[in-house]
Parts: sequence; C-alpha cells; structure tokens
Amino acid sequence: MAEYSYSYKIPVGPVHPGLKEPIHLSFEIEGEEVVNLDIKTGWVHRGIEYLGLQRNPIQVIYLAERICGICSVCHAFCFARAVESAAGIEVPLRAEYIRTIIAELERIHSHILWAGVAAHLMGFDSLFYYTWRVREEVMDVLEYLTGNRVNYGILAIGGVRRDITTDGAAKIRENLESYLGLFNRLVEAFVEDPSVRARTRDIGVLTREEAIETCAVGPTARASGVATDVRQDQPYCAYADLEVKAITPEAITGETRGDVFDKAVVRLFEIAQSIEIIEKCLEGLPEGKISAEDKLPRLLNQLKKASGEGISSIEAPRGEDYHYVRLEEGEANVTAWKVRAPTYANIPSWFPMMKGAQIADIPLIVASIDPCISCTDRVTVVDRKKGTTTVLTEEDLRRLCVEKTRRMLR
Amino acid sequence: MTTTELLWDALAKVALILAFISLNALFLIWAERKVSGFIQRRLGPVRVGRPHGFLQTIADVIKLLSKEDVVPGPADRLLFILAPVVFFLPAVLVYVVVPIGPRAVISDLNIGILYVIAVTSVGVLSIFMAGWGSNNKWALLGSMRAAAALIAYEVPVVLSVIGVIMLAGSLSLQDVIRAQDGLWFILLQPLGFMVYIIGSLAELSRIPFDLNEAESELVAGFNVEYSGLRWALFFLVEYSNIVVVSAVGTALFLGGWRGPFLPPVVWFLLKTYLLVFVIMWIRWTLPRLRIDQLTGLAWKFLIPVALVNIGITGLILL
Repeated sequence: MAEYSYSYKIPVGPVHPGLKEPIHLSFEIEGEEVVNLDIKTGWVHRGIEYLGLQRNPIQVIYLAERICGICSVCHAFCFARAVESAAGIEVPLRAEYIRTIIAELERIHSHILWAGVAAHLMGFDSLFYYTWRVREEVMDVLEYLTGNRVNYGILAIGGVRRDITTDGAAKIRENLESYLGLFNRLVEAFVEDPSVRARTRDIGVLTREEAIETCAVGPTARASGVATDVRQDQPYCAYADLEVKAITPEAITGETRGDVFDKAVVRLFEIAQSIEIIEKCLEGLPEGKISAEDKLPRLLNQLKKASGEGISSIEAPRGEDYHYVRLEEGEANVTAWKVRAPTYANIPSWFPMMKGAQIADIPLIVASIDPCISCTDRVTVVDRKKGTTTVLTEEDLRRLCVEKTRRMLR
Repeated sequence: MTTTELLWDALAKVALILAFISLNALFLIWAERKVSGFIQRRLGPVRVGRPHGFLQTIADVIKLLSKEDVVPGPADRLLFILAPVVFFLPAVLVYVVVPIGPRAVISDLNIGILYVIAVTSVGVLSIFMAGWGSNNKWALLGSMRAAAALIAYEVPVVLSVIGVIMLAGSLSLQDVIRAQDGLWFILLQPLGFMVYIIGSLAELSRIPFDLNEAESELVAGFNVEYSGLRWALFFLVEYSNIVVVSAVGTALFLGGWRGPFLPPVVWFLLKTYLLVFVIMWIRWTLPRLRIDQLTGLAWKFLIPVALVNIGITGLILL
C-alpha cells in the first residue's frame, strides 16, 4: 500500500503581506501545524560587495550605509573600523563617543520599529501606529544631529563628519527624557497586556542549546538565555568605558523561555539600556577633534599607502555585524570586502522555532529574529529544467551587467 | 391587493433594502477609516472630498467598478462566480424582519429571531464556496477557519438570545421590543448581551476574530483571488452585516425603537449606529486571536456563561 502524506505545502513569500522584504519560505503543513520548512533567499541581491571593490574606502562608506536601511550606521561603522584597523588609523576619543551615541540612537529606533512590525503581525494595528509615531521622535533627533533620517552619512574613515554641539546634546537629553516615559507605556503594551501575551508566550521557542547550535546572535540569542553581546564581550569604542551587560529575559521576568515574548522583552529593555548608554556618553563626552584626518586627499593617500587586513565586529540592533576588509599598497580601491550581516547568522534559528508552530504564528516567528533580508542575500541560480544549482561568481555578475547595459544602449 | 400590486410592493421593498445596504456601506467604510484614524492618531482620508474625505469611498467604488473581471484559470468557475452572490442574498433577506419603528417593518414574522439566526448562517456556505472555488491554499485555509469559527460561535449567540426570548415570551422582534417597556433587556440580561456581542464579532469575522482573512497570516483569506466588483460585493455585505448585528442587538437588548422625545426610527438608528461604533472601537483596540484560542474561547467560556445565564433567567422567572 502506498504511503499517504497528509501534509501540503504553502509558500510564504517572496511576496507576502507578513514579510517586509522578499524571501521565500516553503512550509510543509499538516492541518495548521508546521512540519518542515525550506528557505530560499536571493530575491534582493544587489552585488554591493562587488560594487565596493570598484571604489576607494571613502566611497565605500556610502555603499556600506545602503546595505541596510534600518541599521544603516552599523554597516558604515563596522566598515570604517575594519579599514581603520587595516590602515592603522587612530580615531580621536570624541569621535568614538559620537559614533557610540549615533549607534545607540539607531538601536532605539530599530527596536521600536520591530515592536511596531510585531504588533502589526499580531493584527494589532493601533499599537503599530502608536509605536511608529513614537519612533518618529528619535528619527527627528537623528535628523537634527546628522542631517538625515536614514542613511545618516555621519561616519567617516578615522572619525565622524559632524560634531554634537551643546544644542544637540540638549536635544538628545530632551528626547531621552520623553522616551523614559514612553518606555513604560511600551512595557505596558507588550509585556503586561494579556492579549499580546497570549499571542507571543510559548510561540517560536528557541532553547539555549538550540540557540548555541544554530549560532544565533544578538537579541535572538539573548532571549534564549545566551548572554552574548559584542558590546560586553569585546567592548569597542566608548563601550569599553561603560561596562555594558547583555540583557537576558531572566534578569527581567525571572525566567527564560526563548519565545517571541522573551525576544520582545529583550528588545524593549535594550531600549532602556540604550537610553542609559547615551546618557553616560553625553556626560563623559571628551573634548577634542572629531576626525583623525580632515583633509580627504591626504586621507586617501594614506589609505593608498596602507596595506593589511582589517576585521571588525560590532553589535548591530539585530546582533553581531561583521566586516572584513583588505587594503593593498598602491591600490586605491578596497581589494577585498566581506560583510556578514546579523540576519545571516540568525536565519538557521528559524528551523527549531518553526517546528510545531501554527500557521498563524509563522509571520510572528519570522519577524521575531528581526530579519533584514537585503543584508543577507546571496546569489544562487537554479536551473529547474536541468535541476542544477550554480552560484554566480563576480565574473558572471559583471558579464551579465555589461551585457544588460549593452542591451539597453542598443 | 392584486398580483401586480403585490409584485410592485415587493420590488419597492427590495429596492429600498438594496439602497440602504449600498448607502450604509458607503458611509460605514468612510466612518471606519475615520474612527480608526482617530484611534490611531491619524487623519484618515482627507483628500477626496475635502476637508473630511467624504468622497473617498465613492472614488474607491469607481475604481473597483472599472477593474478587470478576473477568474483564475484553475478555479472552479461556477462556485467562484456564485459565491459573492450567495453571500449577498442572506444579507438582503435578513432586513425583512428588522423593526425600525412600531409599524415600520417589512414583515413582522412571529419567528423573527429564528429567521435572523437561520438566514445569517447561510453566509458561511458562500465563504466556503469562495475558498474552495478559488483553488488557492490560502483561500481554502481562510474558509476552513471561517467554518470552524461559525460552528463555534453560532452556539453561544443562539444561547445568549434564548434568555431574551424567555423574558419576552415571543420569537417576534416586535414583541421583544414591546416587552422592553421601561426596562431594557441589557439591564436584565447583561451576560447575554456580552455573549451576544462577542459571538457576533466572531461571526462578522472582525478583529479580534478576523482569522479567515487575517492579512498578515493568510494574505487575504477566502477572498484572496477576488477582485473588482466581486470583491466589492464581499465588502458590501460585510458592512451590511455589521449593521444587521447591531440592529438585532438593539432590538433584543437596547429597547429597539423605544425612547423619549425623538421619533422611534431616529432612536432605532441612533442605538444601532452606537453599537456599530462600539464594534469598530473593539476592532482597533485588540490584537487578533489564534484559531485554537478562538474556538477555545467559544467552547470553554462563552457557552458555559450563556448556559448559566439561561439557568439564572429560568430560576428568576419561576
């Protein structure tokens, strides 16, 4: 007798209202329960790393910011640190502090954005509008400090491009003040509300062992009780002076379950932690220069002469962001650049989280790692007729690009 | 009356109901946008028909009417096309017994309440037709959820109404309203009213019970393959059903057209639209439940509460 299967497959993505960016998840479902899943990425590959190799480090900063729209300063920050370590550039202390402040402000807006998305996926649109309206305030401060709401353009190799004035510091303080009040309301809405709790408790559980096994990073790992935080483990910039401690749900609610609720708790309390970090940074903001080298031609020459490899990892809102850069003497351009965005490390944790989940919980679990698909994409070409899979190399991409341009010119 | 006169009379009444359904949907969709905007600190529509976006819904209707009529290739054509019509029919029929004034009712059936419950249950059939006929997994999932929710919530709604019937001693909606002389049944039947509103919300499939069309989970649920006029029909009926639920709720619990000074029809509409507002208000203040939580709520909480309510009512009447 043939064996019958009671499962069926449903596609989530590449276009789905529960997803903010294109990724294809293929679920095997029995009834309303998830049995298995398959993930295909590659819908938004932009070849940014390759583009970066055609440019000098100062130009790459512009690209690095555009890897991700939400954690844009993190990639520029990470890249700049990698280049600085490759070229041996010493960054002034004030610039380090300003970088830290901007990165933490960004963490606040990123986590609030996540909270809003989670609320929307629960079908709670009023909370979604509330959180996003609240988020506007920190966006305003970022705009005041850097000139832009997203893609701030404040990072430079060897420092930052704009100083935080006394006015700016006052503005940040005022903003933090209002966030301390709002923070309690967010906790009320997400942690204490019974209907939100019903939708997030014991959903998408990632145990401590599974988190370690799948190499999860950032809030995803912390929510499972793994106290990992680059700011704590390898403190960089101003964090070295601040003694940041990784936030785990155990310290807040007294227990670690690794579910979506815990992930929300971790993110919310990281907002409070960021507020604290920024306050300390503003207090201890040292005087001095904000850039190691103001004159760009001179900096370019210095980078051209430099030779070496640089590795940098920082704590982005979604977890550990990692950049590798190689510079060669006599070569103006970056000769190697490798980005590993946090989502890439977090995607495997979907597998244990999805097992046994309900269809209704799929979008929430997908969102629980705060995925940033654009940061993650790799190109794989699948030929369905032949059934083969090939990965495109730089050469292929370049050839395709040239061919397309020629086609368009014709 | 001669046969011709009867026919004209019937046609006039049908036209009246259709006109009411259409105008009501135009108004309610605008109102819902404004209410949700107000609750979420937004403005809602402001552009078309300044300054309050009065013409927004009309613009939407024109857009929907001018859309291409798409029937997906693998769909079951007959079911797919019939489903919105079948959905529309009970929505029209149910208005027959809605009493908007002491004498203003199309037909005061002596089994009015039973009629309302029976006719509105047909709606789920068309949802299932739409889900099955679309030949789409998301649509089928949505309609399966709708069926589960309807089976679960039909029971508490009926049970909640039984208390009212016991007090009024009649199944006619007019008799129920007449029995509420002085004291509205919401005061005598607070539990019944609560169960009725929660159960009706689930039957309307609005948040927190909008599982069959949960957009962030099921893309759009049972109507995912529908577009243009057919989709508009689903929407029209949805808003018409909100009014039906509120109108029946008004008749059963809020004293119907009773009230001082103002004419009865005004009182009836005032109370009905107050209930409509409450239903909208609930939608924008709660997150969506999961299917297991939804059915659990019905079987484990609402039905026992409704049964206790009937028991207490019976004891008092004895």
